[in-house]
Amino acid sequence: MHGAPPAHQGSDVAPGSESLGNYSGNNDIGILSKMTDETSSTLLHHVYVVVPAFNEAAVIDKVLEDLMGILPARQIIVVDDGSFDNTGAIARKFDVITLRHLINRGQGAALATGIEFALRQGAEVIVTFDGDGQHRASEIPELVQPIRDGKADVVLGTRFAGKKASGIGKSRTLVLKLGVIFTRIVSGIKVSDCHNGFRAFSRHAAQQIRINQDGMTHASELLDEIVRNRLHYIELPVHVCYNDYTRQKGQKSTNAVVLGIKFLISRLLK
Amino acid sequence: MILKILIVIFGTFAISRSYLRYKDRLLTLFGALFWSTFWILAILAVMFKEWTSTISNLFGIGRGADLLLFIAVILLSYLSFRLYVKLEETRQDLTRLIRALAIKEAEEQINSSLWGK
Repeated sequence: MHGAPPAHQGSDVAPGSESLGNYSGNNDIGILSKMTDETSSTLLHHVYVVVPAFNEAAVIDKVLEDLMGILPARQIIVVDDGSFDNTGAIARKFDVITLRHLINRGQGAALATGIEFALRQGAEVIVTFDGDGQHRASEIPELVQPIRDGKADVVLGTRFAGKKASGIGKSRTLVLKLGVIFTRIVSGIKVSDCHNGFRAFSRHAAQQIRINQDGMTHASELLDEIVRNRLHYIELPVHVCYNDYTRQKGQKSTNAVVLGIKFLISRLLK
Repeated sequence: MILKILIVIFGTFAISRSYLRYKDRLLTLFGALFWSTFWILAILAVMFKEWTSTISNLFGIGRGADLLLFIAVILLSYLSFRLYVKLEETRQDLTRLIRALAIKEAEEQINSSLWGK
């Protein structure tokens, strides 16, 4: 393991000093606990992190350095979703597991590929992590702990409870909040962040969940699948870093309506 | 008048083509009959206009032409839906193929690096 985690913008909150709000429905109140080195090493056995990446050559090295500060390289799975820049080559230099989609299929497809591979490797817990540097690897143990403790099948990261998303714009916040309402009505699940790529799944949950949506609608489909399989989920606050790079690469807020409609149509065809 | 002639000529041509394609086994019996029936009805419709009006009155629609248009729209909608579903199936098949290739390649790499040690 080498490299210090990159400096992050936004307020720094020590883990263990937060308590979570109460979420209704299927949720528990998650209490964060301080990790000792001892517990963290067994905590992360057979934990695989899946990083879908499409044209992230500019930041994938920093992302991988961040991850390798927490997990061994052989537990990091980068899914190169048909990038036409150096993303794949850079990932391979790090000795992490690299899967390559010959043709770009979308983030949902990349996640599903990585998850399937992780299951074949015998993963007990699978963490999904964005490839554009929005997430912090240091928070992975917090996400894994409730699954290890048997308190949840799925842990969903949220940027709207406790830790503030640094640099998030007002319009983005509005769109995401509307998305929460949409999700509540359509999928019947109450979450505070309907589109956060930082999640953790138990092996059982990962085996039950079927992601058929290749594109960005996979996030909504995932929540549907949690409901369908009656999986126990909790939410944990996570840091999400916004900067010019991630804003430029991310979805336009106006695209949300299109995604909503696409998701509804996909549900009709199920 | 011209339309009548055109449709009768084209319809006869289409029916004969269906028959030939069926003989060549490029078209199934169902397909050939379906297509021929369609054109027979089209020819009858232009030759006996009153007939279409009678039928359309049964449905409560004014003109025969309106009924035909209505039926055509329904058929086209159904066809579009079928095409969309087929496209969606193809998309999923493609993704599954890409996924299988990606996993196969990675597992081979892992295995070969294990044996290499």
